[in-house]
Amino acid sequence: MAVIPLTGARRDDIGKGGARKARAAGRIPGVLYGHGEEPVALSVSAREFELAVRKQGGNPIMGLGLDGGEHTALIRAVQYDPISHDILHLDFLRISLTETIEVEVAIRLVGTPAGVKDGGGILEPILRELKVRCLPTAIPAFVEVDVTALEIGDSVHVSAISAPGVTIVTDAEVTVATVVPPTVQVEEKPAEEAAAAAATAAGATAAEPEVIAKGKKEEGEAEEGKGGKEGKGGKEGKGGGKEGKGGKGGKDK
Amino acid sequence: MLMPKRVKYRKQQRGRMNGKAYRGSSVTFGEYGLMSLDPAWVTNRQIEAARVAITRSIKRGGKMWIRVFPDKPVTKKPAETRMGKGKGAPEFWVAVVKPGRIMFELEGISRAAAQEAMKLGASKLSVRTRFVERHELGRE
Repeated sequence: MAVIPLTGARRDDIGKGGARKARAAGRIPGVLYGHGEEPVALSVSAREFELAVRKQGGNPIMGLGLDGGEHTALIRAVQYDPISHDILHLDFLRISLTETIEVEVAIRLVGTPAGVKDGGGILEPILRELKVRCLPTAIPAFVEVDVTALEIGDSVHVSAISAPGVTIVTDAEVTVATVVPPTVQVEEKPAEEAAAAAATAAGATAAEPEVIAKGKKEEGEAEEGKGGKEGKGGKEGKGGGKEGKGGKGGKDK
Repeated sequence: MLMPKRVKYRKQQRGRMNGKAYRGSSVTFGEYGLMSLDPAWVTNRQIEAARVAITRSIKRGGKMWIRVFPDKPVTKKPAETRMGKGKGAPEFWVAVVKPGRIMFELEGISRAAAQEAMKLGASKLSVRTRFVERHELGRE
């Protein structure tokens, strides 16, 4: 993997205000750390960064030019804005091109499983990234996993992955992907549906969850008792009715 | 309909919905997602209606995740009641949704089918939404 050049500038105005100023000026605030050296707050041009990493895959190695020197670094973490997906902050990790490192590589599932083609199953990826140990120059863009032989209920595990040139760190027993049976949707009858809707509308307040705190529950009950004396009366009435029933039973005997 | 099994307190204060949803704002389980663009209380009925619309649209095939849960009780006073005399009775449950929140996710179907399903589901919700895909650095 080639080292991508990128120019950074030291950022003296650190913190929330400094970061916001950098973003307003079209730059992305970031930090460079690792390899036993002091962390450096920096910023890179948003446009330059976007062009540099475009179509590069998951683990681009950056040649970060800073204060006249060059630092080889991996992008360790990226923070995004939740709505616009603009990059808010970058973490660069200093690395040496001659030392092995642990990185996460994307897993690409290849082929259509037999269970999907013939049985109508659903291919469900469980693991999307694989942790591998290798030299920075040997980081693969992705790891391919062949899933064509999978029937419904079958799964492929990390142990089945062969990635030459790298050591797989992820546990061999971890499932990568599985083919699950199709979900059978039961069509509700309109009449049933209407009845259910009416029941939920009527009993929306009736279906209340259990209250955990005992003291609070008692308090709530007390409140209800205060508010609904008529309700209590009704209960008593019911009790009377039961007694009456008992009497009837006696007559029958 | 979705609601908690057990709660510590029956009633809650309303709270505020300032800012964006930094948690639950990335497509994590599936390949496609439905993102909220507004802050709102999404009721358990709306969530259920959207779920039904999405599952009917994708028919067999595909897997769906609901990423929001209505864990906030909303109380209401009965009609024609004078003010005071305490807080009303719990009426329904809502999920507090902020802009950026991924509410539904889909997997195992084509992009077009997912987009259509999410469109139908979104029409049942009280928020503006956006169809989003799994986001990775350097992916186009």
